[in-house]
Amino acid sequence: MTIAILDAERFRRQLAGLEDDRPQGERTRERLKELAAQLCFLLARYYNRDELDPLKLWERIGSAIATACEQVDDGDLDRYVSIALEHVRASHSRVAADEEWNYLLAEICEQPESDRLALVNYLHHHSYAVLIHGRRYWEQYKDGKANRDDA
Amino acid sequence: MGKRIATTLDASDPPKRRTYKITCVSKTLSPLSHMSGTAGNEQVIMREPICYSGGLRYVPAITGNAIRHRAIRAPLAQHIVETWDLDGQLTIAQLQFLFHGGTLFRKGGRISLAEQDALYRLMPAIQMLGCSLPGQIVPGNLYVHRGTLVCRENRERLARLLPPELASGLPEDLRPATDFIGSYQYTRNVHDMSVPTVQAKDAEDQDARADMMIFGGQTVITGAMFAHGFQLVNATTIEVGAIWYALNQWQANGGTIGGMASKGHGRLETSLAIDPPVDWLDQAADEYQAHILAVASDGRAFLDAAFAEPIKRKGKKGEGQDDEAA
Repeated sequence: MTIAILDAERFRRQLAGLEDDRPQGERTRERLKELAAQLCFLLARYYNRDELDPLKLWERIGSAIATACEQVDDGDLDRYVSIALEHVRASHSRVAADEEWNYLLAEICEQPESDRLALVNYLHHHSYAVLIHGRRYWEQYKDGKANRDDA
Repeated sequence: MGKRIATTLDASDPPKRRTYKITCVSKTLSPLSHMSGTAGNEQVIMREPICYSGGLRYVPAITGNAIRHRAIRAPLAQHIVETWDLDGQLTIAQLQFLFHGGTLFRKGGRISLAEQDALYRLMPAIQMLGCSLPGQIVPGNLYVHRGTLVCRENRERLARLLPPELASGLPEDLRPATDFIGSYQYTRNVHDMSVPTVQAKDAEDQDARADMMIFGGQTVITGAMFAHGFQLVNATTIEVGAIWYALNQWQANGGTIGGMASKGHGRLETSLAIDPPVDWLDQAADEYQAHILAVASDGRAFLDAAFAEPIKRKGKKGEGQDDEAA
């Protein structure tokens, strides 16, 4: 028979690599960067190209981030996201039907208050960087979609 | 064969029954595509909401249903088909019964306790997994745990789910679930996009538009680990042997879970601990195989009798009354 019998030593060996040995500060910064980039990507996805100029996509997302940062200083990320989505005139039905939004919202809105404030603070002070990271996600998504549309 | 162990064959010496807890850990050897649906054109992996001290997260998981089918039911059903020489001899309803647990087609109460006992004796796999005969649902005694990703969000749960000697080895800081989520993108190539080594007969009739399809989705990355397991309630040693045999067959045949196995996805490497610890797993598996061989003719006769009547699907409400009135 081929299955190995598990004991504490074997289990410990198998756990190698699953431990997060990054310093806490670095871990938090990477997570904030990831969440902010995902938020920008989703704003690009729901940017209303019928009502807004497609050529001003990133300018508009930049101002959506800035406007939301100015209006939300209490870590209310539900409100933050709503303001940003309104700014890009996102369709309510498309946003409501999107599972990625559900995951992202659940992820960011359920954070403790200190983490939510940290995310707003990060978005406020890294406005250009988050656009660049979000655009990278968007370009990857667009490439895949274009290929599918061609097919 | 080593020491003698009690089995359900020993009518004069009733088998000792006890509850066994089997803890498994499985490492992904390739990307895992256990899907829950699609978002647009992309497949989305199965996730479950986890409420832990850090809040609510959606964390990848493997359903117990997938594990019990792929790792237990399918290998045991295949073994019965091969040992009883049933390939090509079974109806669809019998195949559904063996490989998928069957479907209830008629009103209940069709078999007696004695017949149920006979079923359990002939097929220990059914005693563990339960089934649905055409007229009756038969319970099982195997509880299958869900596959729990070994990650930060699940650490608190894992500390309680795993036996203490394993739980004590869990690092304080595990990677978050998002670190274990990856993606894939594949292309289904087509003849008109390939180097034309063979010319198509109707090439001139085709337009230039390529039908090459690109498809993608999420995965759990290679190297992730899931904890899962089984609880075998009031079981005989022969049932433990069946589990051990099934798990080994599953692993020997690739150990896959989830979709895209045809493209190399979903390979797991599993190791397990059993409580109480036993040293007769291989003998029990041998006894299980010997048992299935010994009851072959009775088993075939049981399958023929249980599925003798043609299957008549239950109609919609009201249709049955019309039939009876007619």
